[in-house]
Amino acid sequence: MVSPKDRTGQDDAARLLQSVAQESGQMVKASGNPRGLLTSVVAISAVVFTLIQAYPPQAYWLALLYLPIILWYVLAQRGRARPRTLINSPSLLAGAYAGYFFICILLINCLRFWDAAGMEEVIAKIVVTFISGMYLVTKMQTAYNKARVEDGNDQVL
Amino acid sequence: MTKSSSKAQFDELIHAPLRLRICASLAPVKWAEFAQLKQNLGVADSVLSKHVKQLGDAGYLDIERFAKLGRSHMRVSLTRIGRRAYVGHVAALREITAIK
Repeated sequence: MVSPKDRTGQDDAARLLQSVAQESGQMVKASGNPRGLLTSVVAISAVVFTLIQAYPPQAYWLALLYLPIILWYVLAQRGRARPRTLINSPSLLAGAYAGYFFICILLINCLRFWDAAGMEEVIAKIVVTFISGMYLVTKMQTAYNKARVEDGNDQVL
Repeated sequence: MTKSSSKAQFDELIHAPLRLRICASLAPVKWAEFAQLKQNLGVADSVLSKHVKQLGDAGYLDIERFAKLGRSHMRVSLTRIGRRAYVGHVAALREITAIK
């Protein structure tokens, strides 16, 4: 049986643990990449991936679209907190992150079988690639952020 | 939640709510600039400076001052001792919440 005093201590500890998770999560988000950057990378990748397959080699120049993204990334990193290296994170290597990464690879290989010929089909493929890619990348990012919070609060090294 | 790699040990210095929040903010990063830490915590410069100094004096934080474009900046990070104390304190809080 827990005494009222212990119960108060437990409530305080639970409240503090909640604030720990919240602060760590906030810092992980602040030190990560902006959401817009991630969306742009997925959008450009969907376009490049589809057009390079539909119109090679005329579409190879599309890879240049990554240049502004690289510039954005460099600018976004200025003044941001430097993320800690994940030394030993089982939830990252064997958990949701690895699972979604595997599905991502599977999706890319499945989409390669879709030979988009007409303009409508190309647009449809870009949309499908973008939506599914965005879903998986968001899930991976969430799992990665969670692993970083756990690593920061549990690992001494 | 993964298993803590440190022995649970309650730390009075870290237990103060703002100091715990400072450590929690620094835990998932190698270092953070003072301005970003302040933005993350939403506290005044003077309040944050005071608590950062207390943690620094105890050897829990490494405080590095540097100049960038003619302006002075401060970079804060958890030291090895600080990280050990913080992880141990979080483990102690978990133990308290786990008491039946």
